[in-house]
Amino acid sequence: MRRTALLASVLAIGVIPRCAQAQAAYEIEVYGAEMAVPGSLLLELHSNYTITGSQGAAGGRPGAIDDDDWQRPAHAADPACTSGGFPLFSRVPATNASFHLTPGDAISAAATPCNAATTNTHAIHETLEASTGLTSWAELGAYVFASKMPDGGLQVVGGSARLRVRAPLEWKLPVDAGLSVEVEHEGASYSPNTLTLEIRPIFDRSAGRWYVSLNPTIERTLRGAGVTAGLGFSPSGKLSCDLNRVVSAGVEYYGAFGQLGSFAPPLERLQQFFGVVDLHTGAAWEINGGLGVGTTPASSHLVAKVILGRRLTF
Amino acid sequence: MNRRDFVATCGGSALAAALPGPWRRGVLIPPDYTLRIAPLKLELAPGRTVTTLAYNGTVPGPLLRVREGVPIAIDLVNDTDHAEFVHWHGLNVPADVDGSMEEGTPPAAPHGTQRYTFTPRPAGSRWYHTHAIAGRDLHRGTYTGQFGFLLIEGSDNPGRFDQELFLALRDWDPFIMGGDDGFLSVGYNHCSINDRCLGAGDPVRVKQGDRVLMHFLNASASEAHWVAFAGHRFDVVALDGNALSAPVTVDQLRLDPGERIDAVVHMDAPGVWILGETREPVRRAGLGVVVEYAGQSGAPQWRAPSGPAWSYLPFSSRESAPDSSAIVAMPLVFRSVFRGHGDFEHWSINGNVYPHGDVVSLINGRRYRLACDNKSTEDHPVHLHRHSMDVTRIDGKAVSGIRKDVVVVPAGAVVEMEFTANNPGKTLFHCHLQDHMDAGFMMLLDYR
Repeated sequence: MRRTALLASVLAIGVIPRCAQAQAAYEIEVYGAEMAVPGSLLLELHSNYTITGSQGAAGGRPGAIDDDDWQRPAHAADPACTSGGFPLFSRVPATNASFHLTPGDAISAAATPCNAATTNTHAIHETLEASTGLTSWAELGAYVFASKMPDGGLQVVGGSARLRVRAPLEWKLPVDAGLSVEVEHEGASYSPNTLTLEIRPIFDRSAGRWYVSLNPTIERTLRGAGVTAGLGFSPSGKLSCDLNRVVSAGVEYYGAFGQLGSFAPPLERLQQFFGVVDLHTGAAWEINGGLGVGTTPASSHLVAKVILGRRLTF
Repeated sequence: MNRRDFVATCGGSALAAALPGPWRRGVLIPPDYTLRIAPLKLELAPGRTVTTLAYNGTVPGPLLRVREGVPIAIDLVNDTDHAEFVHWHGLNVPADVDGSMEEGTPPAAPHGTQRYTFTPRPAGSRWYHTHAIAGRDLHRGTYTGQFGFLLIEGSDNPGRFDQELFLALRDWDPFIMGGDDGFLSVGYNHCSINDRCLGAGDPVRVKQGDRVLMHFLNASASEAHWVAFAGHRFDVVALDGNALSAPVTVDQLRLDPGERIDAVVHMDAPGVWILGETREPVRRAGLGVVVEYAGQSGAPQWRAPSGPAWSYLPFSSRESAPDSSAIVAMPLVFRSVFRGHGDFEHWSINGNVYPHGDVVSLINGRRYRLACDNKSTEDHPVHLHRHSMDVTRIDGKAVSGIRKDVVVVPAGAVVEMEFTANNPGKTLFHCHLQDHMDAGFMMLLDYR
């Protein structure tokens, strides 16, 4: 499947909260315009493992966008995240991986600085996705997110619903284009922003062995502390090459720049590059995998990800 | 040498060269037919208008009804900005008028005229169409409306019939679909029979008791079509215009691009019916026509066919196959060649992607067996120019009495057909799917 459903936890979430518009945290995926066709159900399990986590918010710098809290431009300059350089609403692990913190808890947890490096190291994130085609140009999807810290059990964090549409091929556009609109809910014990919106334009194009896709994603908090934060900008993209009929190899990029019109300083943004492999083993399966490297202190430094998808027809 | 050939030959002189337009090329007499290629805005149905190229402003082009063995001259007037060819499909004509660049036929230059002079044979339902390369330009080649029926009347009597219909199956408004796990392919927005989508044109009006001779042609650039006639069956009398030894009754027809089927239908079920594609989405896209009995009214009815799937096997006669001892076997292996998920699949015959590979030399008068081994996952309707082929074996099953010029070699199957090298010159063999032939699925034969 050309759609690069490479989901993984670039943003090693779990230790630190998925604040603001953080629904992308569990889904590290560069969307292609292709979608499930009517009469089919695509089930995907997205797994990622943080081999080496981030250094906290820009290495402990106050107000930085944190890898585990990557869409929190509103909080980037929040004075509450100053002392010790920990993020506001932080789901601070303290001595264990108990995430049952409310925003208020997080504030009270200010004793733990956010420069506690690599707190997300060895985190595992699992996302179950189901999507089905409504028409040849519309698809409905749903997700359930879960995470597991090294010293804790599996926690179901939330879920989301997504509607995707695409420009019909019959329009004969020079590039394939689509739009994904996703609403995510997270429990208040996991995020101060319990309802978030992601609007993801999709542009992709295949030419011979080459494939390129761009997702200039906009995110916004609908309910929660970040509701006044405005729009966050999180671009992602992919370039890949078909090595043969079965194997494609490429690079994916994921970024989080902070608030539109007021980007975070470069070192405080999230920047991750994944080397990825897609296996085209037939219409029934999607198999993707990759290894990602963060290039800023706020980004997880090394993350592995795998997607296994099975397409069913009915 | 006949009169027209004589004039054409004698006229190939400096005098002829000095003459303008159609008088050039040594032809001093007016043509029997003129085909003019020009853009056409074609309304398939209200709200479904396509812009295409067509012959003489109609789709299909004019019906050319000619006598077997009587020479004709046809002028191709090209009112476009690119060179064009018209191929006389199913006719045993010389290579220089066959309408194939690969065989050496001269093109009709942009805004120029090319005369084709030949003696039509063999009798039967033939057709003509552009043979231009399209590549990714879906406004060229057989993606356009450049096609028409060519009926060569011979001494054979096709039997009594009350009405004769020429029904061309078409797909329109092509677009390139994404590669995904496979490769690029061509899709279409609309379908039609002749120039109208289902329900948009006048119905075919028949009377109870009529025998209607239907000439089906799949003029699609790349799509196979399955056709059924609700409430009726087809008595197939000819495949690719070549008469069967006896009619074969079937519930549905399959025609791949380039194929023709002549069938007689007994109008014995009064009502208003749909004759159309068996696949509902394709029928909804327009591939169908309403057939209305005299005195009947109401919404047209559709019934899915219940008979067995289409195969050539039921058309095999009980005649014994000819002696094969003197036949030269020519194994042909078809394979796909991957060029990326963002490209069209390319195709090879015996490892050669045309134009790579040598021209295959034949010996005049010898009989050859093309043993086509389709190693790909797609069906290929292969067409041999300027010759007819006798299908002799389908996946190990011997058959006889099936003469065709387009033979579908199903995915993963082996189909054998024989032909006699009795029309010297360059001879093109190719898959009739436009996107396949444009991507290397061709082979050139030659003999003197």
